[in-house]
Amino acid sequence: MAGLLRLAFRNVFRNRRRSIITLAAIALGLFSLVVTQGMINGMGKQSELNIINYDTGHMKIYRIGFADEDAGYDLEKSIADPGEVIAELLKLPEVQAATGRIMFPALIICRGESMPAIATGIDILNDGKVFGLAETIIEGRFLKPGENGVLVGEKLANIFQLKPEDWITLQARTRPEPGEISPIQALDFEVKGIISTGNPKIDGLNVFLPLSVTQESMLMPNMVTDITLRLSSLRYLARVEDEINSRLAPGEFEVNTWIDLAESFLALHRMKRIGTAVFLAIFVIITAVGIVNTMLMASFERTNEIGMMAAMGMKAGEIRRLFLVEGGILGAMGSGIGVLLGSILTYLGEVYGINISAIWGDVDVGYPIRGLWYTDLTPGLVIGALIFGIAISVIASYYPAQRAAKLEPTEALRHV
Amino acid sequence: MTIARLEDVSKEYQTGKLTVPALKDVNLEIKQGEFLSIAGPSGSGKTTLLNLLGCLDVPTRGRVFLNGTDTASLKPDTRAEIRRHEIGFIFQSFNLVPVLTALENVEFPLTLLGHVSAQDRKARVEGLLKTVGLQDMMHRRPPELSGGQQQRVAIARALVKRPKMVLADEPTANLDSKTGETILQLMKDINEKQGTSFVFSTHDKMVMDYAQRLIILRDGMIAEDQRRQ
Repeated sequence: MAGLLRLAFRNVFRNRRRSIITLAAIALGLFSLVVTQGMINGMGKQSELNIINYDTGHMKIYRIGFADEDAGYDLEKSIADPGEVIAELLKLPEVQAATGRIMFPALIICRGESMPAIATGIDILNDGKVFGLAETIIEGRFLKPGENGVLVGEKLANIFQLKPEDWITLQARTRPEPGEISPIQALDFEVKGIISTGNPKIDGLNVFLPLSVTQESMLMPNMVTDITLRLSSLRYLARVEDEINSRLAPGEFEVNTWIDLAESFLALHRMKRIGTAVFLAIFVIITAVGIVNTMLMASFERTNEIGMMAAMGMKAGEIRRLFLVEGGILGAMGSGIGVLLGSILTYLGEVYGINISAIWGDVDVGYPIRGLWYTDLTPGLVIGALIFGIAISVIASYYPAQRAAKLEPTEALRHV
Repeated sequence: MTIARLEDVSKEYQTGKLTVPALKDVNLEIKQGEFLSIAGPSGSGKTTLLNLLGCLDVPTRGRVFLNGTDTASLKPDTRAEIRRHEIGFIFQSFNLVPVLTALENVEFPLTLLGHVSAQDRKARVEGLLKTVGLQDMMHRRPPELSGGQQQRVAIARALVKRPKMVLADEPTANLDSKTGETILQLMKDINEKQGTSFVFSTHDKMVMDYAQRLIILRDGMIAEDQRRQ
């Protein structure tokens, strides 16, 4: 085997220029694969964090029917005495924190203009244990308990040209009493801060106000519409979901993990990943044509030598193996170089980040990220790309190898 | 002891719709230790006969025995095994692997055998390169050697696995007469000292003169079979 490897290795560099061109093509293909997948993975990971930190938490618990697509936010389906439910949930060792919120559709009115929005009442003291809104303030300050103030998403603020200390009116239907039509409530709030999460849904549609003020205004004393949890690790998602389902009154609550809540984003991300992977795989396969060419040329040039080897007693399978090993070496070296360079660039992207606004400006690319976009280099990506590169090279070498193996020794020896 | 026997062997090649006979009803017996030359004009069937003796090809009719085994009916891999263990080849154009050194070229058949230890391989290869006078050039690659030196490497490569028979297809054709004679003398010495059988195909008068036995082929048939002292 050592002799075969030595021979294969030297054969690879018999025609140095041709091999270098083939190596460069493989390296370029694998470089692109690693960098692009690293970028998409990073985008996915960063988006996942964004969605969890600013939108969904790890999981949300609603009363069944609250968030039905048809009903929108049905305030009749609220959770009364949320403190008891939260206390029960916090008994689970995997649950790190829990907070109640009230979400309701509202109309923002300001300077004669109006626009629909989603208003969310947040528990000022507990919300930060689950969400990270406080760290996204770009102007003004975070809310204080009980104050008549709101946080406004950056894009929404831009539309109304809002600044801290400006006033807006929120108009919404309060929680209806059973059998009655809910009255419309309109209240004025002072803008205390502008937030920028990078999540277009939050920045463009949301205002946040203190929970106690919301409960009072919406006629929902000691009520919330959802309880959001943060777990000690995402690993426990399924376990905690099952546990909560078994603990809470059956038929009354529904548990939605962040994966359920971000379904459309995840589907989009999956499609982008698959699309990019397929595109790159085609690119790498095209480079495989270069390998077929290189190996085929080698098998033609070495016809006489193949005849000699067969005369020495080398079997067809061994000749085939020699060519496959040569293809494998070519693939391993090309992939090695491509994956190494791709990994270095992806690692730099992971450490220093890529400035998205410098590339795309303010264009929404469907991912909830802003500022710096960090790539993600994983061992799986590196190993997977290497295996893929080598496998493609070996597969591409099969036809030339088979041609060499099938040569009749007497014919091959006669070849000039 | 008989090492090769051909019984009523015919070989035909198909060229389009045309059947070209290369050998016709050849009967031949080769004994251990013979130094035999097959001569004849071009197209007389010399190379075909050598290919059949070397298990590189199978006859259209008749039987080819090597050490008592009929090789005509064997599968390609089994014939490869026989070549690997029992037959050494020397080619007109040397056919060395250009990317391997002289030492590695000679070692190549031993790596195919598999069971020879690295130490044994080294001893055998270096010993043979010394025998053929290339002890100082063993780390040179074929392009760095003259034609005569390359053919010496090829001889060492043919002998390294200690075959029963070495088949040499026009071994002096690409060499000047002086180098050709040196090479022939070398093979003759090995034949006498080690008892290895040598079978040549040749046009070269000098090779015929060296041979103990001369077979002349004409139109695919043995026209003469001369034994000399």
